[in-house]
Amino acid sequence: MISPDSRLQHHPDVAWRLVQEDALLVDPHTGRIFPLNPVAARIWTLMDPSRQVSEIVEILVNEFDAPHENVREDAYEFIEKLLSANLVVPAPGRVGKGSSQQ
Amino acid sequence: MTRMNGTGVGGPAQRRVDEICLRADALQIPLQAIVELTYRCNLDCVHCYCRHLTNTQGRQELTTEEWRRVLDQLAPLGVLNLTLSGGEIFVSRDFWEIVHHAKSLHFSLTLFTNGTMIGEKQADLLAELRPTSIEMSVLGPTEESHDSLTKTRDSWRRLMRAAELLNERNLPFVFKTTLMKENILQQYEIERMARLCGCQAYKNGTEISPCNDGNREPQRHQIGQRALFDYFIDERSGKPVLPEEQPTRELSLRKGTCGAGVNGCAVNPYGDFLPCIQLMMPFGNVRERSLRDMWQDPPEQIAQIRRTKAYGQIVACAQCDMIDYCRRCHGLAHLETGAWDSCYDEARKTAAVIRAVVNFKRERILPVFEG
Repeated sequence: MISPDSRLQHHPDVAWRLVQEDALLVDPHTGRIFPLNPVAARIWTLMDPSRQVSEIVEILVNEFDAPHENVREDAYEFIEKLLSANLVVPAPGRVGKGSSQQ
Repeated sequence: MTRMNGTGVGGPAQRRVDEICLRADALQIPLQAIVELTYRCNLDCVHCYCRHLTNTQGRQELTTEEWRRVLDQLAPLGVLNLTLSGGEIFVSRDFWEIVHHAKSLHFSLTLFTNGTMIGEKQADLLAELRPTSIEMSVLGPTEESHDSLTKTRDSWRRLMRAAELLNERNLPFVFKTTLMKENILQQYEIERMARLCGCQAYKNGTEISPCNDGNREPQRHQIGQRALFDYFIDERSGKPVLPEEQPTRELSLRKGTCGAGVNGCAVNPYGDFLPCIQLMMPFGNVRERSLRDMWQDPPEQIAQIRRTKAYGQIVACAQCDMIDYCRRCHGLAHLETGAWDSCYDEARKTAAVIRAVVNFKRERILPVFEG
């Protein structure tokens, strides 16, 4: 589970590139390719060990002019998917209380 | 706000991947690139297109620092899939430094290697690097057959050791075979052996390119039309997909050409920036201009290739009776004839075989090939 103060980072093995506003991710462990739409790609590029999930949500709310609750719900759902696919991992050292890092 | 579905995590992602790739094509974003780090190799394979190419005309291979700059420029061009090839990549003194730099730029890495220089230490480093794919060439099912084609003693034993080391580290690898006169009859033995070695995938092909300088010596090993017909007709393993029946003329004219210089590019050991590893028509050289400049402002001939999206736009193809079956390669046409848009012998020969296969499947008439 992630929480507002979770900090996550890209899995270091994941290859990725922006294609205009979309993105393609490649997981070398499985060979799978993941296409991201513009909002998902924006979350991906915002994901940084220095940034909490709540900060990412705030940025999205401003950029996409959408209700906070909707953005939060979508962002959390997407980030959970990234976590479960092991495409992102909890940032070391500064982990939110709800992080899945042991 | 757009919902963030279609992320591909558990969803039907392939259609979205295809859409993004098509858009990249339309925008001329090169998602694929091959870099040939060196033409030097520790083997001497009979069919290699890089033979005789080391230090041609005193040209110097790119230095490590120059390769770093090339990679720094390939990433912002949009390259995602980066293949490191040779020669033999592990002969390149600074291979590890270059490949780690590539990884830091988030490329999806594919390594082409003959496998013979992968020992314990290299296997450990590869496990740490975690490339998307490692592709190793295997030319025969036994030590004797493989070594006779690499012209190097012990190359088989070392390749088998590499497979073992990669397996021990759960590193998936692909075995691939260039089928030629000398090993075409062993194709299923090779595949069986490759799968027993634990390869994640196996692939083979029959095409042999001339050397980059136009020397056609390697093609002496290419199988003839009869053997190629037998190869295509035998459906036991993953062969190229052939048309089930003759396509309409209209469809053939609209058939897409390759993505050389559009969705892909290459850099050779001397810094020539090419539309494709096979097409020896450089945009320019990385020592003289930036990759972005060259990509955005190509020589007229490359601009012409980019405008040529379909076979029907190539005069020689539009008039050709083999267009329905042809799988032309601009690079091979250029190497064989000096013109990327001309017809060439090998394309016609292969197209004739594919036509015979399609006819055979429909009418059960065995073709007669010359020679």
